[in-house]
Amino acid sequence: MIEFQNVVKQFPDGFRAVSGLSLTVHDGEITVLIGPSGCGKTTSMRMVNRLLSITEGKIIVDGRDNRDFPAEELRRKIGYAIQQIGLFPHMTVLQNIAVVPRLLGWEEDRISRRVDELLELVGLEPDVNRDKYPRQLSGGQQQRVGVARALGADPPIMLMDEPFGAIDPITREVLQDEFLEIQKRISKTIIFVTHDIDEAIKMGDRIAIMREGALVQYDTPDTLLARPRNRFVRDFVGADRQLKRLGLMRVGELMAKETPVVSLRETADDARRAIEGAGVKSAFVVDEEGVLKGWVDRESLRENPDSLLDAMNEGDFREIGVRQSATAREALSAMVARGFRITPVVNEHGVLVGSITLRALQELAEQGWAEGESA
Amino acid sequence: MSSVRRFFTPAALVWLAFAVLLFLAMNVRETIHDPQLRASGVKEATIVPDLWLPVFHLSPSTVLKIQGSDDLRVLTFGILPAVVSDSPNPAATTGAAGEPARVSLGWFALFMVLVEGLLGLFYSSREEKLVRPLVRAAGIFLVIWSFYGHEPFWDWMLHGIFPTSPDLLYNSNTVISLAGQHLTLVLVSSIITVAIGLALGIMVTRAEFREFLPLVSDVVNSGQTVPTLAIVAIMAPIIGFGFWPAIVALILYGLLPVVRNTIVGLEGVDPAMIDAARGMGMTAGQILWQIEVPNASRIILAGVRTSVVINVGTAALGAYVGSGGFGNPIASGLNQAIQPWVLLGALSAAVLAILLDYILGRVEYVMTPKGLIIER
Repeated sequence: MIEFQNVVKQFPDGFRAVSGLSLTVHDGEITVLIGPSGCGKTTSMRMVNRLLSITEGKIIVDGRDNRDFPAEELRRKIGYAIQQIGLFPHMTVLQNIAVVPRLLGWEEDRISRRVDELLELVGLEPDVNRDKYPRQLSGGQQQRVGVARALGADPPIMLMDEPFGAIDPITREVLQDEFLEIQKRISKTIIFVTHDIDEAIKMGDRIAIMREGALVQYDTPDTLLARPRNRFVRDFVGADRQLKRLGLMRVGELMAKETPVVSLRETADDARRAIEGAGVKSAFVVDEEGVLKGWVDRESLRENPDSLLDAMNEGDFREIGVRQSATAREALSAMVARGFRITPVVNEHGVLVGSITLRALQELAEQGWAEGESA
Repeated sequence: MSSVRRFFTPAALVWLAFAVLLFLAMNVRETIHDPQLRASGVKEATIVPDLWLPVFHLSPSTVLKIQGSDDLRVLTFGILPAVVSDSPNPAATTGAAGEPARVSLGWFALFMVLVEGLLGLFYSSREEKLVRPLVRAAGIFLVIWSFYGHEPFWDWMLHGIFPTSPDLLYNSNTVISLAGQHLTLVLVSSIITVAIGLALGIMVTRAEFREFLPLVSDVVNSGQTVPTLAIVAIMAPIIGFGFWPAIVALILYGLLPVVRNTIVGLEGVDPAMIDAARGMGMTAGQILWQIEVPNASRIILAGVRTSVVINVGTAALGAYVGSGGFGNPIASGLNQAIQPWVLLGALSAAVLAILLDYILGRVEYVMTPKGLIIER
């Protein structure tokens, strides 16, 4: 756990970069510090491992004031990754990752095992990349090595200063996803600085929005988007925050599990009864394994009253359904694109697991809107 | 077929021709013209020293398909005639004066073998590419040094240029002893210069002493603007005549490139790299020696190289305070209007400068971290 207690940072030229920051970073979570340039987010982060001195207040790391340790000892226990990566070009990938373990006096055997393990963790083939020099790697690969190096001695805490900031958007998405996967396994306590709100929402378990050296709001992404505390936060998270919020929710959590469904073996009459019984306009059609095959509605049943097969609108589950792992935002855009008011939800094998309506998504977004306005 | 083609590359053929030419020249005997040499009993001699064998070293793997440990064998091959100095053919040597030079040359060659052996142990075969340039530099040094020690060669050459001159070789010292004095001046002053320059450059780029940076730059710059002869002249009354005043002048004069390049090199290290190093918990000393110096090494070494080469030229002025070296024949030759002496000193100093520049270039290549020169 990291705790900022009334932390103040004043530079020698009199500029007060951080004024009275109090913030608790929870164990095993990614806490994102975000705000416009000059808001003190990087300054706050750099005080944790004492790359910058604290003017007033204190920072508690693992239950102790971070000034109780010698600075070097403290830093070796805290992983550090920066936007410019800062790999050492005269050292191989192995030597770069081994810097902190060597400083800590690990044995060579243990170091080389650890390096291979880390390279695999960040998705680089150890045998191919171990002895390469940073210049022989692409930007994305270099940042992977940068992350591996920060994890070198398995520190419980990591500081990441816009680690994916200098990478092209496509690779950045990939690295963000990979890092979230890694974090699921390693559960580090991470302070993550960024100025990109989308990255913050995606990466953060909690987001601290800062402005002019002070904390404006500190909440989970969902709460932040649903209930921005003031106009500054509202503007900062953007006008499309309701949509962004939908991006945080999984279809699987929102869908209705009860949905009118008919099997291919049943008749048109069965389908009509199912639809009327549920009081809806349409039902989904599945095969023996439960895989989505298409849908029938009242109109098509009227035109083909005798055969379910003739009445059915056939469609591949990939085209007419959404995955349960998709975000609500993705479901919404799929429905708008296809002109559906209700869309079937399937698992990765195409088996129908539920459905979600346009209205439900709208209500969800409106709920956030109303909450935001009332605050 | 392909192996044959690899063996007879154009470069290999040129080297081979060069070696054959040297071998043939060993059997061409020329009349000695220098009165002093004749007085010592040498009437004719070959113009090529018999220490030309390391010439094979100049070729990476072409002439004899030298590879890996074969380097050692060939180097030893070159040393043999050097160590076995009491050659049965006195005409091929320079007589009395030649022998000490040969023995010291033998020691030098032995030293190089040791260096190579140690490097071979130290580096894995992967880094052999780094050792080879040094060994080749040693080979070139041996060849040129053997020509310095072979007075019939100078006699033959100076006689060709000045056929009517009564005096050819400088009469108070042999070329090899002049070369030794000159090299000593350059090496001693350069070692001290590099030590002081590096220390100064590192000091003024540390946060604690940064305010001295402009001062040090100015002092070092002005050292360069004062004429060398003036420094030599000022030093003589203070320290006296001989070796040390020349050394002091050479240090003052050679300091600029070392200090300047050290500062430029250290200041040029990517600040993000230093930030990362600090963030990982490296101490200031570890950052300096493990991060900053290796990354600045290329620029620092370039400064050392410039400084040493400048010193070779400047050291010639040491003759005016009696420090010896190639300045002696130049000064005496100018005084007494004996042109062969002037040419002898100037030419030898120039060759020495080129030689040291080449060797330091190789050293620079070897000492620059591989990660900084590697291509994608």
